[in-house]
Amino acid sequence: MAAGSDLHEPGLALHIEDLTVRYGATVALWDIDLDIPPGRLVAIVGPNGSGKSTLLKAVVGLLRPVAGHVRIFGQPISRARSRVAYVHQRAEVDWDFPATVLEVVTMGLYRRIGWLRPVRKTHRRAAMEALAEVGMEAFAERQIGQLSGGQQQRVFIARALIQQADLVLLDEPMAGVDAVSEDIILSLLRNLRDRGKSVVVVHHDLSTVRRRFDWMALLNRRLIAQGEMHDVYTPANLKAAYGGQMAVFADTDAEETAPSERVGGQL
Amino acid sequence: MMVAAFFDSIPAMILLTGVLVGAAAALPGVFLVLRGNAMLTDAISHSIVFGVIMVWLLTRELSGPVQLIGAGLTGVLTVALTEALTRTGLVRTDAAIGLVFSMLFAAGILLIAIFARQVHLHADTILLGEIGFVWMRTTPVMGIAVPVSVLMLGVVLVLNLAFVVLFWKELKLATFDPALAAALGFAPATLHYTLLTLTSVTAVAAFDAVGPVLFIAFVIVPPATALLMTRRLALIVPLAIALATLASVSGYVLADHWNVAIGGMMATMTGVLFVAVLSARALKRQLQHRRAVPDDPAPRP
Ligand SMILES: Nc1ncnc2c1ncn2[C@@H]1O[C@H](COP(=O)(O)OP(=O)(O)O)[C@@H](O)[C@H]1O
Ligand SMILES: [Mg+2]
Repeated sequence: MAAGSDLHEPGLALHIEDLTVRYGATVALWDIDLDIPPGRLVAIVGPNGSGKSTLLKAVVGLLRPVAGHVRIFGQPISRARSRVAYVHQRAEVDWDFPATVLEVVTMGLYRRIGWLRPVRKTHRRAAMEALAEVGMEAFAERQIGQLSGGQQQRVFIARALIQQADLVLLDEPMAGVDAVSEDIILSLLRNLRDRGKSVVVVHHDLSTVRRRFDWMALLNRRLIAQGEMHDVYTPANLKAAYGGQMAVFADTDAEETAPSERVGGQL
Repeated sequence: MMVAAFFDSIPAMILLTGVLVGAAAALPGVFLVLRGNAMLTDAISHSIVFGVIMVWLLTRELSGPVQLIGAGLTGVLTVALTEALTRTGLVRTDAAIGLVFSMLFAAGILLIAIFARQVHLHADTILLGEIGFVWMRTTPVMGIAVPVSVLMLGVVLVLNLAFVVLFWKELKLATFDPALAAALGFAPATLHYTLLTLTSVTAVAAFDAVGPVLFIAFVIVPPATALLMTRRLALIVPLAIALATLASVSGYVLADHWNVAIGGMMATMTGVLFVAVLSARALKRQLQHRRAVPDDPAPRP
């Protein structure tokens, strides 16, 4: 255990060592070693139930690992919270909750606002700007329950953008969203990367992963492979990760793939 | 003295108690209902039976400040047991909370069964309370005899109000998105446990007036009704309090008129208001449907 302010692997956006995570008797992640360099657009790929969501949750400290450690720019999560934004899967919240789009985006600022301090006009203005970035400013006063899936996802991304984090983690941001939202989300993520941010995305669609991301980690409870896309995206590695489910996908290399061909596409 | 006359009036004290119970219960109630685990209230209001009995065994006090402290301690005990149970990884947090509260209720009932014969403890009074008698036990406050229930409920209302107002944005975040709240370092579990403990304390403060069974109605029903009426969180809280007040006042008037139990009638009125609002909404929707006005351009998921 690195103690105090000692930095451990500060040159990496994300450093994961010997990470094992269990839910009761279920081992979700086994002995993961993963080093993600900064400034990349990274895909975490693996079949359903391979531990992708669990990995992100362990990184942001929502789950306590039974072994191993995580460092973000050299620091444990407890010291790096302000540098990390986490966008969980859309279905993890109740969209019937009584809140407007603007209120939800403003939540991204709560850490900066701090305990007990109220939300002020400047915060709402910042939230409006973030909404404009995702093309949703016209929806600011809408109830969140009235949005489509793609719009919900863009609201979540606006909420992450507003945190101005250096490492952005997103869990299946393009699952079950319309084509327009998908394009907007992809260009937002690329834009973040181009501004030097590190973007880590759990991606469900093997047929599009190669063209959209430049770095990849393949996961199936264990880490199968990690590195530059062209090094990792090999039939041998994919087969090792997906096993029997291999027949389902094919890298069409065509950007638009019918939803039915998507591997593990889930709403 | 106007004030002294007010606190001397039996109807005024019964009404005030009902209004205070409704307001104090609605504050945590809104967030419990929004979290979708309103039935936790059921568990909470039952588990406090254990706390009340334990305190009674130790001090022979059935109400008063020492009971409030007992409720707080029961809350802490619940948290400790729940954490221990969750850490085993065998059950989810919500299930663990439910289990612990039910266990405490069972233990409480068992203790009543064992000791009730020695004293005037009746399961009925413990479970339902008797708001009609709250004026009988008073304590002097600045020279005025104030019912103990009114005083305790007043204190608890202020406590709940302060908690909800001060931690408004934290509660909103932790209720809507506990994962983000945790990722941002806002300790959603601690907030949730605090909310549950305040609910326990409120249940105990209400104990003489409305027992745990009727208390559940006050925690759940007015917030659930308010939720049907508006989608603005900031309006739901005052609306729930207003609905609870209306239920208390109309319940008192009707109970007086029909000569039935006051607390029960107040709780019943919360349900009547809920059904009324629900019917009004259904009717409105049907009318809109019939006119077939396509005035909702909002895309739906
Ligand atoms: N809260 C939970 N309790 C118990 N098991 C879980 C929980 N969440 C996930 N799992 C299990 O852990 C494994 C990994 O899940 P997850 O990380 O969600 O996979 P992915 O995101 O890759 O689909 C699966 O076998 C899943 O069933
Ligand atoms: Mg997942």
